[in-house]
Amino acid sequence: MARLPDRSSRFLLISTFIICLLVLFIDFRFGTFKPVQNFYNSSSISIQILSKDYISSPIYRLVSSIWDTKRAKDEIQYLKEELEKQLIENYVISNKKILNRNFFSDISNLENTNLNLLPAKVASFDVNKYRCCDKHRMFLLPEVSTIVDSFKVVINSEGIIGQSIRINRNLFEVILLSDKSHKIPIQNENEFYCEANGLGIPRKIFCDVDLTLEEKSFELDQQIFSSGLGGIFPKGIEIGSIYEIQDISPKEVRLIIELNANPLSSNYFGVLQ
Amino acid sequence: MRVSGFIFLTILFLILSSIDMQVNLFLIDFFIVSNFTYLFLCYLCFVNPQKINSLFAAYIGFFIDLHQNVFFGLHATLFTLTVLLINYNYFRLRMFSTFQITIAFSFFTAFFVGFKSILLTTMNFQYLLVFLSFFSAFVSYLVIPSLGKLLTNKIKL
Repeated sequence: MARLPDRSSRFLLISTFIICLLVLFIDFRFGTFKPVQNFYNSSSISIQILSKDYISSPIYRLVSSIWDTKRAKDEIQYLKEELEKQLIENYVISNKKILNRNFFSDISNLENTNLNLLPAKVASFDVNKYRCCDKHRMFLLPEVSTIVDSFKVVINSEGIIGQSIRINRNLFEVILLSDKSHKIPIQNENEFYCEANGLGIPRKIFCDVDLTLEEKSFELDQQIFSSGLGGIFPKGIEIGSIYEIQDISPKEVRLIIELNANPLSSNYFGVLQ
Repeated sequence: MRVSGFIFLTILFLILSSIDMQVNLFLIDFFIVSNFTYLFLCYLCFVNPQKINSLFAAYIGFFIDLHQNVFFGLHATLFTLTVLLINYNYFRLRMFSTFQITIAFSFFTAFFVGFKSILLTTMNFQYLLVFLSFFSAFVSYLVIPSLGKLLTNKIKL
Protein backbone atom coordinates (compact mmCIF):
# COMPACT_ATOMS: atom_id res chain seq x y z
CA MET A 1 0.00 0.00 0.00
CA ALA A 2 1.23 3.45 -0.96
CA ARG A 3 2.05 5.88 1.79
CA LEU A 4 -0.19 8.94 1.95
CA PRO A 5 1.16 12.47 2.51
CA ASP A 6 -1.46 13.47 5.08
CA ARG A 7 -3.08 11.78 8.06
CA SER A 8 -6.45 11.35 6.40
CA SER A 9 -7.35 7.73 6.11
CA ARG A 10 -7.64 5.84 2.89
CA PHE A 11 -11.20 5.09 3.87
CA LEU A 12 -12.08 8.81 3.78
CA LEU A 13 -10.42 9.27 0.41
CA ILE A 14 -12.06 6.30 -1.20
CA SER A 15 -15.43 6.81 0.45
CA THR A 16 -15.52 10.41 -0.77
CA PHE A 17 -14.78 9.21 -4.26
CA ILE A 18 -17.46 6.53 -4.06
CA ILE A 19 -20.03 8.98 -2.74
CA CYS A 20 -19.27 11.40 -5.56
CA LEU A 21 -19.48 8.58 -8.05
CA LEU A 22 -22.79 7.53 -6.57
CA VAL A 23 -24.14 11.09 -6.76
CA LEU A 24 -23.03 11.27 -10.39
CA PHE A 25 -24.67 7.96 -11.21
CA ILE A 26 -27.94 8.93 -9.51
CA ASP A 27 -28.01 12.28 -11.26
CA PHE A 28 -27.03 10.77 -14.60
CA ARG A 29 -29.54 7.95 -14.37
CA PHE A 30 -32.47 9.59 -12.58
CA GLY A 31 -31.80 13.33 -12.66
CA THR A 32 -32.32 13.45 -8.89
CA PHE A 33 -30.28 16.60 -8.37
CA LYS A 34 -31.94 18.56 -11.12
CA PRO A 35 -33.94 20.67 -8.60
CA VAL A 36 -30.68 21.60 -6.84
CA GLN A 37 -29.18 22.71 -10.11
CA ASN A 38 -32.34 24.54 -11.06
CA PHE A 39 -32.32 26.33 -7.73
CA TYR A 40 -28.67 27.30 -8.17
CA ASN A 41 -29.25 28.46 -11.73
CA SER A 42 -32.36 30.46 -10.88
CA SER A 43 -30.58 32.02 -7.88
CA SER A 44 -27.51 32.96 -9.89
CA ILE A 45 -29.63 34.35 -12.72
CA SER A 46 -31.70 36.36 -10.22
CA ILE A 47 -28.53 37.72 -8.62
CA GLN A 48 -27.15 38.58 -12.05
CA ILE A 49 -30.35 40.38 -13.03
CA LEU A 50 -30.56 42.21 -9.70
CA SER A 51 -26.92 43.24 -9.82
CA LYS A 52 -27.36 44.34 -13.41
CA ASP A 53 -30.51 46.30 -12.66
CA TYR A 54 -29.42 47.89 -9.41
CA ILE A 55 -25.63 48.08 -9.59
CA SER A 56 -24.01 47.80 -13.00
CA SER A 57 -26.71 49.44 -15.12
CA PRO A 58 -27.11 52.52 -12.88
CA ILE A 59 -23.34 52.97 -12.78
CA TYR A 60 -23.10 52.51 -16.53
CA ARG A 61 -26.02 54.86 -17.09
CA LEU A 62 -24.47 57.44 -14.75
CA VAL A 63 -21.09 57.31 -16.48
CA SER A 64 -22.61 57.33 -19.96
CA SER A 65 -25.04 60.12 -19.06
CA ILE A 66 -22.15 62.25 -17.76
CA TRP A 67 -20.30 61.60 -20.99
CA ASP A 68 -23.39 62.17 -23.13
CA THR A 69 -24.26 65.36 -21.26
CA LYS A 70 -20.79 66.74 -21.79
CA ARG A 71 -20.91 65.86 -25.49
CA ALA A 72 -24.39 67.30 -25.86
CA LYS A 73 -23.32 70.50 -24.09
CA ASP A 74 -20.33 70.87 -26.40
CA GLU A 75 -22.53 70.26 -29.40
CA ILE A 76 -25.15 72.74 -28.19
CA GLN A 77 -22.43 75.33 -27.60
CA TYR A 78 -21.01 74.73 -31.05
CA LEU A 79 -24.44 74.97 -32.68
CA LYS A 80 -25.26 78.08 -30.68
CA GLU A 81 -22.08 79.77 -31.83
CA GLU A 82 -22.72 78.79 -35.43
CA LEU A 83 -26.28 80.08 -35.16
CA GLU A 84 -25.08 83.38 -33.73
CA LYS A 85 -22.61 83.76 -36.59
CA GLN A 86 -25.33 82.96 -39.07
CA LEU A 87 -27.70 85.45 -37.48
CA ILE A 88 -25.07 88.18 -37.73
CA GLU A 89 -24.56 87.35 -41.40
CA ASN A 90 -28.29 87.36 -41.94
CA TYR A 91 -28.51 90.74 -40.30
CA VAL A 92 -25.86 92.15 -42.62
CA ILE A 93 -27.51 90.56 -45.65
CA SER A 94 -30.87 92.04 -44.73
CA ASN A 95 -29.27 95.43 -43.97
CA LYS A 96 -26.89 95.80 -46.88
CA LYS A 97 -26.67 99.51 -46.17
CA ILE A 98 -24.50 98.71 -43.19
CA LEU A 99 -21.70 97.89 -45.59
CA ASN A 100 -21.69 101.42 -46.97
CA ARG A 101 -19.03 103.16 -44.91
CA ASN A 102 -18.71 106.16 -47.19
CA PHE A 103 -21.42 108.70 -46.62
CA PHE A 104 -21.08 110.16 -50.12
CA SER A 105 -20.84 106.95 -52.08
CA ASP A 106 -23.60 105.45 -54.14
CA ILE A 107 -25.37 102.69 -52.30
CA SER A 108 -27.19 101.28 -55.29
CA ASN A 109 -24.67 98.53 -56.05
CA LEU A 110 -24.34 97.22 -52.51
CA GLU A 111 -26.10 94.01 -53.44
CA ASN A 112 -22.93 92.84 -55.13
CA THR A 113 -20.66 93.75 -52.25
CA ASN A 114 -18.99 90.91 -50.38
CA LEU A 115 -19.69 90.49 -46.72
CA ASN A 116 -16.40 91.48 -45.21
CA LEU A 117 -17.35 90.31 -41.76
CA LEU A 118 -14.87 89.14 -39.16
CA PRO A 119 -16.43 86.96 -36.45
CA ALA A 120 -15.20 87.60 -32.94
CA LYS A 121 -15.94 85.96 -29.65
CA VAL A 122 -16.27 87.59 -26.25
CA ALA A 123 -13.03 87.32 -24.30
CA SER A 124 -14.06 89.45 -21.38
CA PHE A 125 -17.13 91.46 -20.58
CA ASP A 126 -17.71 92.84 -17.11
CA VAL A 127 -21.48 92.61 -16.94
CA ASN A 128 -21.58 94.08 -13.43
CA LYS A 129 -19.77 97.15 -14.65
CA TYR A 130 -22.07 97.28 -17.66
CA ARG A 131 -25.13 97.26 -15.43
CA CYS A 132 -23.87 99.54 -12.68
CA CYS A 133 -21.50 101.97 -14.18
CA ASP A 134 -21.14 104.19 -17.21
CA LYS A 135 -18.05 102.60 -18.73
CA HIS A 136 -19.36 99.98 -21.12
CA ARG A 137 -16.45 98.12 -22.65
CA MET A 138 -16.02 94.64 -23.98
CA PHE A 139 -12.96 92.67 -25.09
CA LEU A 140 -13.29 90.44 -28.11
CA LEU A 141 -11.12 87.79 -29.71
CA PRO A 142 -11.21 87.71 -33.49
CA GLU A 143 -11.78 84.21 -34.84
CA VAL A 144 -9.02 84.69 -37.38
CA SER A 145 -5.79 86.00 -35.96
CA THR A 146 -5.67 89.45 -37.50
CA ILE A 147 -5.26 93.01 -36.38
CA VAL A 148 -8.57 94.73 -35.89
CA ASP A 149 -8.08 98.43 -36.31
CA SER A 150 -9.83 101.08 -34.31
CA PHE A 151 -13.10 102.61 -35.51
CA LYS A 152 -14.51 99.43 -37.00
CA VAL A 153 -18.22 98.85 -36.56
CA VAL A 154 -19.09 95.93 -34.30
CA ILE A 155 -22.48 94.34 -34.75
CA ASN A 156 -24.47 91.40 -33.50
CA SER A 157 -27.60 89.84 -34.90
CA GLU A 158 -29.72 92.70 -33.53
CA GLY A 159 -27.75 95.64 -34.85
CA ILE A 160 -24.83 97.91 -34.15
CA ILE A 161 -23.40 97.58 -30.67
CA GLY A 162 -20.31 99.75 -30.83
CA GLN A 163 -16.94 100.32 -32.41
CA SER A 164 -13.55 98.75 -32.04
CA ILE A 165 -10.43 100.02 -30.34
CA ARG A 166 -7.23 98.35 -31.48
CA ILE A 167 -5.19 96.53 -28.82
CA ASN A 168 -3.12 93.78 -30.40
CA ARG A 169 -3.29 90.95 -32.92
CA ASN A 170 -5.33 88.65 -30.75
CA LEU A 171 -7.53 91.07 -28.90
CA PHE A 172 -9.46 94.25 -29.39
CA GLU A 173 -11.70 96.38 -27.26
CA VAL A 174 -15.21 97.43 -28.10
CA ILE A 175 -16.66 100.64 -26.82
CA LEU A 176 -20.39 100.15 -26.68
CA LEU A 177 -22.84 102.76 -27.89
CA SER A 178 -24.12 103.17 -24.35
CA ASP A 179 -20.67 104.01 -22.97
CA LYS A 180 -20.68 107.51 -21.56
CA SER A 181 -17.73 108.64 -23.65
CA HIS A 182 -19.12 107.28 -26.92
CA LYS A 183 -20.82 109.43 -29.52
CA ILE A 184 -22.79 108.39 -32.55
CA PRO A 185 -24.36 110.68 -35.16
CA ILE A 186 -28.02 109.89 -35.56
CA GLN A 187 -31.02 111.03 -37.54
CA ASN A 188 -34.70 110.35 -37.80
CA GLU A 189 -37.00 110.07 -40.77
CA ASN A 190 -37.75 113.81 -40.62
CA GLU A 191 -34.18 114.84 -41.45
CA PHE A 192 -33.40 115.62 -37.88
CA TYR A 193 -29.70 115.17 -37.11
CA CYS A 194 -28.04 114.90 -33.75
CA GLU A 195 -24.95 113.53 -32.08
CA ALA A 196 -26.05 111.03 -29.45
CA ASN A 197 -23.97 110.27 -26.39
CA GLY A 198 -23.89 107.10 -24.37
CA LEU A 199 -26.02 107.44 -21.28
CA GLY A 200 -24.03 105.00 -19.17
CA ILE A 201 -27.15 102.87 -18.78
CA PRO A 202 -27.44 99.57 -20.67
CA ARG A 203 -28.90 100.02 -24.15
CA LYS A 204 -29.53 103.71 -23.68
CA ILE A 205 -28.11 106.72 -25.48
CA PHE A 206 -29.31 110.30 -25.35
CA CYS A 207 -29.42 113.32 -27.52
CA ASP A 208 -29.95 116.91 -26.37
CA VAL A 209 -32.01 118.91 -28.84
CA ASP A 210 -32.05 122.69 -28.94
CA LEU A 211 -35.48 123.94 -29.97
CA THR A 212 -34.51 127.65 -30.10
CA LEU A 213 -34.16 127.89 -33.88
CA GLU A 214 -37.03 125.71 -34.93
CA GLU A 215 -39.70 123.52 -33.44
CA LYS A 216 -39.22 119.83 -33.90
CA SER A 217 -41.72 117.18 -33.12
CA PHE A 218 -40.72 113.92 -31.48
CA GLU A 219 -42.79 111.06 -30.30
CA LEU A 220 -42.13 107.96 -28.32
CA ASP A 221 -41.08 104.81 -30.20
CA GLN A 222 -40.00 106.93 -33.14
CA GLN A 223 -37.28 105.10 -35.05
CA ILE A 224 -33.75 106.47 -34.95
CA PHE A 225 -31.13 105.73 -37.57
CA SER A 226 -27.44 106.27 -37.88
CA SER A 227 -26.75 109.32 -40.02
CA GLY A 228 -23.37 108.19 -41.35
CA LEU A 229 -21.79 111.53 -40.49
CA GLY A 230 -18.35 111.11 -39.00
CA GLY A 231 -17.48 108.30 -41.39
CA ILE A 232 -17.45 105.51 -38.87
CA PHE A 233 -20.97 104.21 -38.79
CA PRO A 234 -22.87 103.49 -41.98
CA LYS A 235 -25.82 105.63 -42.93
CA GLY A 236 -29.45 104.70 -42.49
CA ILE A 237 -29.12 101.77 -40.12
CA GLU A 238 -31.80 101.59 -37.50
CA ILE A 239 -30.19 101.71 -34.12
CA GLY A 240 -33.14 102.15 -31.81
CA SER A 241 -36.22 104.14 -30.95
CA ILE A 242 -37.12 107.02 -28.69
CA TYR A 243 -37.72 105.70 -25.21
CA GLU A 244 -38.29 108.91 -23.31
CA ILE A 245 -38.46 112.63 -23.97
CA GLN A 246 -37.26 114.80 -21.09
CA ASP A 247 -37.67 118.55 -20.89
CA ILE A 248 -34.37 120.02 -19.76
CA SER A 249 -35.44 123.64 -20.23
CA PRO A 250 -38.30 125.41 -22.10
CA LYS A 251 -36.23 125.33 -25.27
CA GLU A 252 -34.26 122.15 -24.86
CA VAL A 253 -35.31 118.50 -24.68
CA ARG A 254 -33.38 115.35 -24.08
CA LEU A 255 -34.25 112.31 -26.14
CA ILE A 256 -33.49 109.03 -24.45
CA ILE A 257 -33.06 106.39 -27.13
CA GLU A 258 -33.30 102.71 -26.47
CA LEU A 259 -30.93 100.73 -28.64
CA ASN A 260 -32.05 97.69 -30.59
CA ALA A 261 -28.87 95.71 -30.08
CA ASN A 262 -28.30 94.07 -26.73
CA PRO A 263 -24.66 93.11 -26.21
CA LEU A 264 -25.71 90.51 -23.65
CA SER A 265 -27.80 88.56 -26.12
CA SER A 266 -24.90 86.72 -27.75
CA ASN A 267 -21.30 85.71 -27.34
CA TYR A 268 -20.47 86.21 -30.97
CA PHE A 269 -20.10 89.50 -32.76
CA GLY A 270 -19.15 90.59 -36.21
CA VAL A 271 -16.65 93.28 -37.10
CA LEU A 272 -17.29 95.05 -40.37
CA GLN A 273 -13.91 95.30 -42.02
CA MET B 1 -7.63 25.87 6.47
CA ARG B 2 -9.23 29.03 7.78
CA VAL B 3 -12.76 29.97 6.75
CA SER B 4 -11.52 33.08 4.88
CA GLY B 5 -9.08 30.94 2.92
CA PHE B 6 -11.79 28.42 2.24
CA ILE B 7 -14.12 31.12 0.85
CA PHE B 8 -11.28 32.70 -1.09
CA LEU B 9 -10.44 29.38 -2.75
CA THR B 10 -14.10 28.72 -3.56
CA ILE B 11 -14.42 32.09 -5.26
CA LEU B 12 -11.10 31.56 -6.99
CA PHE B 13 -12.20 28.21 -8.41
CA LEU B 14 -15.50 29.71 -9.56
CA ILE B 15 -13.63 32.53 -11.29
CA LEU B 16 -11.28 30.05 -12.96
CA SER B 17 -14.28 27.99 -14.01
CA SER B 18 -15.84 31.10 -15.57
CA ILE B 19 -12.59 31.89 -17.36
CA ASP B 20 -12.48 28.32 -18.67
CA MET B 21 -16.03 28.62 -19.96
CA GLN B 22 -15.31 31.92 -21.69
CA VAL B 23 -12.02 30.76 -23.20
CA ASN B 24 -13.58 27.52 -24.40
CA LEU B 25 -16.10 29.47 -26.42
CA PHE B 26 -13.27 30.52 -28.70
CA LEU B 27 -11.03 27.49 -28.47
CA ILE B 28 -13.62 24.78 -29.08
CA ASP B 29 -13.52 25.53 -32.82
CA PHE B 30 -9.89 24.40 -32.77
CA PHE B 31 -10.69 21.25 -30.69
CA ILE B 32 -8.90 22.67 -27.70
CA VAL B 33 -10.35 23.04 -24.22
CA SER B 34 -8.99 25.17 -21.45
CA ASN B 35 -8.61 23.47 -18.04
CA PHE B 36 -7.23 26.09 -15.71
CA THR B 37 -9.56 24.95 -12.92
CA TYR B 38 -8.45 21.34 -13.05
CA LEU B 39 -4.76 22.20 -13.36
CA PHE B 40 -5.02 24.65 -10.48
CA LEU B 41 -6.55 21.93 -8.32
CA CYS B 42 -3.75 19.53 -9.33
CA TYR B 43 -1.18 22.14 -8.44
CA LEU B 44 -2.76 22.94 -5.06
CA CYS B 45 -3.14 19.28 -4.21
CA PHE B 46 0.44 18.57 -5.13
CA VAL B 47 1.82 21.56 -3.22
CA ASN B 48 -0.36 21.19 -0.17
CA PRO B 49 -1.86 17.68 0.10
CA GLN B 50 -2.65 18.11 3.80
CA LYS B 51 -5.16 20.89 3.16
CA ILE B 52 -6.40 20.10 -0.32
CA ASN B 53 -7.88 16.71 0.37
CA SER B 54 -10.60 14.68 -1.28
CA LEU B 55 -13.36 16.38 0.73
CA PHE B 56 -12.26 19.78 -0.49
CA ALA B 57 -12.00 18.43 -4.05
CA ALA B 58 -15.54 17.03 -3.82
CA TYR B 59 -16.83 20.33 -2.41
CA ILE B 60 -15.22 22.36 -5.21
CA GLY B 61 -16.32 19.79 -7.77
CA PHE B 62 -19.95 20.02 -6.70
CA PHE B 63 -19.78 23.78 -6.86
CA ILE B 64 -18.34 23.70 -10.38
CA ASP B 65 -20.99 21.18 -11.41
CA LEU B 66 -23.62 23.65 -10.32
CA HIS B 67 -21.78 26.54 -11.89
CA GLN B 68 -21.28 24.85 -15.26
CA ASN B 69 -24.70 23.20 -15.12
CA VAL B 70 -23.45 19.69 -15.89
CA PHE B 71 -24.29 16.37 -14.24
CA PHE B 72 -24.18 16.82 -10.50
CA GLY B 73 -21.11 14.97 -9.26
CA LEU B 74 -19.17 14.88 -12.52
CA HIS B 75 -16.46 17.30 -11.53
CA ALA B 76 -16.68 16.16 -7.93
CA THR B 77 -15.94 12.57 -8.92
CA LEU B 78 -13.12 13.46 -11.29
CA PHE B 79 -11.58 15.93 -8.86
CA THR B 80 -11.75 13.41 -6.04
CA LEU B 81 -10.22 10.78 -8.27
CA THR B 82 -7.42 13.18 -9.16
CA VAL B 83 -6.74 13.99 -5.53
CA LEU B 84 -6.78 10.29 -4.81
CA LEU B 85 -4.24 9.65 -7.55
CA ILE B 86 -2.00 12.52 -6.51
CA ASN B 87 -2.15 11.42 -2.85
CA TYR B 88 -1.38 7.82 -3.68
CA ASN B 89 1.53 8.84 -5.91
CA TYR B 90 2.60 11.85 -3.90
CA PHE B 91 6.13 10.71 -2.98
CA ARG B 92 6.70 9.43 -6.49
CA LEU B 93 5.61 12.75 -7.98
CA ARG B 94 7.81 14.64 -5.52
CA MET B 95 10.84 13.04 -7.10
CA PHE B 96 9.79 14.17 -10.58
CA SER B 97 11.26 17.24 -12.24
CA THR B 98 8.97 20.14 -13.09
CA PHE B 99 8.88 18.98 -16.69
CA GLN B 100 7.81 15.48 -15.66
CA ILE B 101 5.17 16.84 -13.31
CA THR B 102 3.85 19.01 -16.13
CA ILE B 103 3.61 15.96 -18.38
CA ALA B 104 1.94 13.92 -15.62
CA PHE B 105 -0.66 16.61 -14.96
CA SER B 106 -1.19 17.03 -18.70
CA PHE B 107 -1.97 13.31 -18.86
CA PHE B 108 -4.38 13.68 -15.97
CA THR B 109 -6.01 16.56 -17.84
CA ALA B 110 -6.33 14.51 -21.01
CA PHE B 111 -8.09 11.79 -19.04
CA PHE B 112 -10.23 14.36 -17.28
CA VAL B 113 -11.29 15.82 -20.64
CA GLY B 114 -11.86 12.32 -21.98
CA PHE B 115 -14.11 11.29 -19.08
CA LYS B 116 -16.00 14.54 -19.28
CA SER B 117 -16.47 14.15 -23.01
CA ILE B 118 -17.78 10.62 -22.61
CA LEU B 119 -20.55 11.86 -20.35
CA LEU B 120 -21.22 15.26 -21.85
CA THR B 121 -20.73 14.72 -25.57
CA THR B 122 -21.54 11.04 -25.87
CA MET B 123 -22.75 11.27 -29.44
CA ASN B 124 -19.91 13.49 -30.67
CA PHE B 125 -16.91 12.20 -28.77
CA GLN B 126 -13.72 13.31 -30.46
CA TYR B 127 -10.31 11.86 -29.77
CA LEU B 128 -8.71 14.96 -31.24
CA LEU B 129 -10.14 16.99 -28.40
CA VAL B 130 -8.59 14.65 -25.84
CA PHE B 131 -5.30 14.57 -27.69
CA LEU B 132 -5.03 18.33 -28.08
CA SER B 133 -6.11 18.97 -24.52
CA PHE B 134 -2.90 17.27 -23.43
CA PHE B 135 -0.88 19.95 -25.20
CA SER B 136 -3.12 22.77 -24.08
CA ALA B 137 -2.75 21.56 -20.50
CA PHE B 138 1.02 21.36 -20.95
CA VAL B 139 1.10 24.98 -22.05
CA SER B 140 -1.38 26.08 -19.40
CA TYR B 141 0.58 24.43 -16.60
CA LEU B 142 3.54 26.68 -17.43
CA VAL B 143 1.68 29.58 -15.85
CA ILE B 144 -0.35 27.75 -13.20
CA PRO B 145 2.46 27.41 -10.58
CA SER B 146 3.30 31.11 -10.76
CA LEU B 147 -0.36 32.00 -10.54
CA GLY B 148 -0.88 29.54 -7.72
CA LYS B 149 2.06 30.88 -5.72
CA LEU B 150 0.82 34.41 -6.17
CA LEU B 151 -2.71 33.60 -5.07
CA THR B 152 -2.02 31.14 -2.27
CA ASN B 153 0.50 33.48 -0.68
CA LYS B 154 -2.38 35.85 -0.05
CA ILE B 155 -4.18 33.33 2.11
CA LYS B 156 -1.04 31.68 3.47
CA LEU B 157 -2.21 28.24 2.39
